[in-house]
Amino acid sequence: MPPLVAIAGCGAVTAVGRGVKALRSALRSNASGLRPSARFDHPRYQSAIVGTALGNGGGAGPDDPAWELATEALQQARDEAGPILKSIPAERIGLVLSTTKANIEALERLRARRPCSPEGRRHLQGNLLAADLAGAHGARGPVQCVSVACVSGLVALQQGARLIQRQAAEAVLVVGMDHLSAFVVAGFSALKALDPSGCRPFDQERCGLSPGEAGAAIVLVGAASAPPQAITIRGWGNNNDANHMTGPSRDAVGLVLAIRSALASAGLQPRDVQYVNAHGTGTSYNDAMESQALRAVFGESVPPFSGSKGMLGHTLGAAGVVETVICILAMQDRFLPGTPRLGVVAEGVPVSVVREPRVISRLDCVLKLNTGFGGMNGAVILGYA
Amino acid sequence: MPKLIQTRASWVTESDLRTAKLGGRFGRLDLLSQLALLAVEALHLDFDALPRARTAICLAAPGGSLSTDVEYWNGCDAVGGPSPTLFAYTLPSAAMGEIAIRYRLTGPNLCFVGEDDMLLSEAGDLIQRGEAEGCLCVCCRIVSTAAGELIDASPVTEARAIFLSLDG
Repeated sequence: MPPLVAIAGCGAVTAVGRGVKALRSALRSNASGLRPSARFDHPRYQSAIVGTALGNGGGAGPDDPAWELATEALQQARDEAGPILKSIPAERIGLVLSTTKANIEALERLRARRPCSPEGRRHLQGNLLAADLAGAHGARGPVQCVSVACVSGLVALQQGARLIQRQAAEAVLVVGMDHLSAFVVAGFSALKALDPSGCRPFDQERCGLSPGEAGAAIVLVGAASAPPQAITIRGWGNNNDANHMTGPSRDAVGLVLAIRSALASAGLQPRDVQYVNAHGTGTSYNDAMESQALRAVFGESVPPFSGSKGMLGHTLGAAGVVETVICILAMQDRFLPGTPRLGVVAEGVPVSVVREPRVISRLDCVLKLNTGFGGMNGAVILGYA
Repeated sequence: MPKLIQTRASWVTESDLRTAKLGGRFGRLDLLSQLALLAVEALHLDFDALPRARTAICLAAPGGSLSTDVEYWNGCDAVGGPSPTLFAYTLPSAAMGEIAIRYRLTGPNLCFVGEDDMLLSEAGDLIQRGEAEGCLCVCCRIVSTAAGELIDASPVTEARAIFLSLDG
């Protein structure tokens, strides 16, 4: 077995509040943080329903929201991992940032000739944002900025685990971040990819996604620093459909490969998986492809699964990290998260979809999935050592 | 530990695009994707001899997709809004998707925003760990004049590629 990679702390700033406590509470009540936003109430946008985390959905916000989201989530995660991180030299702590657009707010401001700080402009570049976050959060080891569309978060977790396993670092701060922007909402509107009523993953009436923003962080540590009874990253996979730039493959080949790679690297069988947190964008093609992939791997015994984007929106580069935080909370508290905003389950969706959260006796093995533009597919398996 | 070898290498610039013959679809791609594809094409690899599900793609984009971002966002006030086609290329990893589609490669993908200093080590790690048998490593450096003004960088348009695999 490859060296152990354990989780020592988490942080989250999302549409349901600032901090893991707020996320935990929303998960228990199956609440949705999606709301209409005056900022996007304009014919240019297909929908005004978004998941706002910084509370500025109605007007002017900070000029560097990328920094605000990422640094707050990192601080939360470092606070939880405090004593463990303090025992590790800064040179042995790395940072991997996952983002698709970094501080794209700066581009909007500069084009509109609105004020933008030098830092806001600098953070247009994801690698410089990562370097500044590392400097501010005591990470002097390897620093990377990963950008693999909406699979970025899972790839960043994989990268963090690889750095630890090959002893390039003893701890890695993995932080996922994307902020709400006119840039992104206009783009998805142009693609006609938004659900005017707000996203409804796996629902028969689903017709698109809802954009969201989030900062989320997970502290990964090696075996020597792992807390007792820690949740670990057991395995992962990452494969391409090689099919289409914006649409998922109809035969789900890339996601099936990614899940099977994750199971193989974890030394597990499909029957060992107790819960799947799906990508679940709420677009008809994605949800159908994901349902097909689950059936291809698990047959008629698809484990309980749910989607979290009806709660947080699609947080793009943050999605893999924040949805992994949800999986961690589910394992810690022994419950299956629900699928907020799911009404009538669509035809073809496996019957094991979880509508409402429910408590279970044990949750020891969880599969997290994401897919993205460019045919990207990712899978990560969490378990206990 | 198994030994890695670099079997092919290429370097292309914007001037090479004029003579590129990569089909009609090629003209609809953004510059980053075009150059990345051209750099891979210039490796003259026999893709039919590669295990496609075990061939990884690692990309470094020092300027990210900022040049395409600027072009896309400059069209935001156009009638009908910004281009949906261009929006799909406002991700540096779009170039990886284009490479995967063209050569039908379904292996692992890694894309970094930043310099290419870690590209070979990360590609080598994927191979050494057994996650892939070979890896296309591509560094695509695209900074348009407009993007360069935003980040105080000089315009540049070039891409380099190598193929990394296990010796023997």
